[in-house]
Amino acid sequence: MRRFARPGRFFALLLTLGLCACLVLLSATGLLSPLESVASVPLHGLAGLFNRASLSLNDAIEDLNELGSLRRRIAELEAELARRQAESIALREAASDYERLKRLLAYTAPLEDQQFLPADVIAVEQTGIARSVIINRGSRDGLSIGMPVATELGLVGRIIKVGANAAQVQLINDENSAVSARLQTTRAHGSVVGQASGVLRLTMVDLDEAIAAGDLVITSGLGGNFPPDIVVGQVTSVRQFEFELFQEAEARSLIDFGALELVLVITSFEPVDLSVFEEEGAG
Amino acid sequence: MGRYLSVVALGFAAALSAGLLPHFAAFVKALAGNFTVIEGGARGQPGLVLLLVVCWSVRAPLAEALIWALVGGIALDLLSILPLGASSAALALIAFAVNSLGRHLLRLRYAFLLAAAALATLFMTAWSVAGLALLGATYDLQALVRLVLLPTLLYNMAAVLPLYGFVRIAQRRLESGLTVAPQTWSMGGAQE
Repeated sequence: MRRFARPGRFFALLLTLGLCACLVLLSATGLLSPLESVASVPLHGLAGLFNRASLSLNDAIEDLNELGSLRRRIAELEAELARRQAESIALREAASDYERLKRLLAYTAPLEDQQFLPADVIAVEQTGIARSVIINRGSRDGLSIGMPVATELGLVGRIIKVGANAAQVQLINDENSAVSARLQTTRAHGSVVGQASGVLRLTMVDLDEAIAAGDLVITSGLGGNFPPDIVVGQVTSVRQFEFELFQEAEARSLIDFGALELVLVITSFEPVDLSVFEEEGAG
Repeated sequence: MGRYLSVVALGFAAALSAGLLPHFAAFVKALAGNFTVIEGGARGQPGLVLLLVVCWSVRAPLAEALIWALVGGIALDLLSILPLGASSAALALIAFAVNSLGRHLLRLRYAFLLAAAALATLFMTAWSVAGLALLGATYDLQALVRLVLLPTLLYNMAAVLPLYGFVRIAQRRLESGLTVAPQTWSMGGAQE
């Protein structure tokens, strides 16, 4: 402590403080400004160098940090893109469904007296022999055998088997299918049957009836199996032989049966059971 | 020799304080991410000149310590808005106190250095605030303590021990250089 209290030390301190006070006074009055300007040049230069270096270093560190965050961001965006793509696919499907439903609605609008139940096609006949599809509606939905099935493009077929939650629909191009039909133009009656090749054949048309390619074939309602005036197909070619009692025509359905997705079951139509008359006739 | 070294070392330290260390908090944040005890928006930084003066004053003769304080203060003031000599006066008082107490508390070297760094930081900050207040500036003292004083205190206490190590190496080199040089000269003279 003697060293601390030594007068020389205090003197040195006071001298320094006095010098500092002088500097402050001179600096505050501006007398030292030229000297300060000169003295600060190297300091400012050096500080500027450090500043630039530190900014560059800071940028480099930030870039390095950003690299990691950018990678994370890319991963996030990729995940988001995948999610959006899945969403987009779902939306396209929804839009497609909407378009189909809109077309079906447009189809059903004029048929106000009919009641329709939309159904999804959930399966196609596996054997390839019979032509039928399975829909996701059944007896719980009020479906019964014989109900006609259609789309906005025309007749699809009729229900031949009903389960609780599903039903099997025989397509009109099945070989065992027969639909009473008529030509829209001449009102000539006939019967549309399926062929092994998948095309439709209009048979039992009187020879004196005129048939032309392009004529629309619609259901006639005769026989009580289908309601009248549902489009069955369009005539593509006519076959007429003088030695035959009837003429025939090949028709093409407007429906692509291989791409059926949504159909309408006409639930308000009850097929007429004509077997009573057949039995009476036989008796 | 230490007197001349002071100009280079303290000038360098002042430039470093003005150019590099203001980005120190950003470095810390960039390197450590959000894992930092320093509050966001903190403007504190290590007081390199102050620490050099403190470290140099522990072992150096008083005259040399006061010269370091004078030069360090001038370097600081040339890069700040305080009038020339204002920081020198504060550093001179700090250097005097450290130099006077340092050798008496030699056994408590590390604790002494930490305490000296902390007290010197407090004093220097208070001095600077007072000086700026005299120039007409006003500050929110609570925010100043939170955003400037505490981070600076933390940085300075963390930096003082390693810096003292460097200063001691330099002082030993200078001391050995001053004693070895005449011998070398005399040996050379003998050979001639």
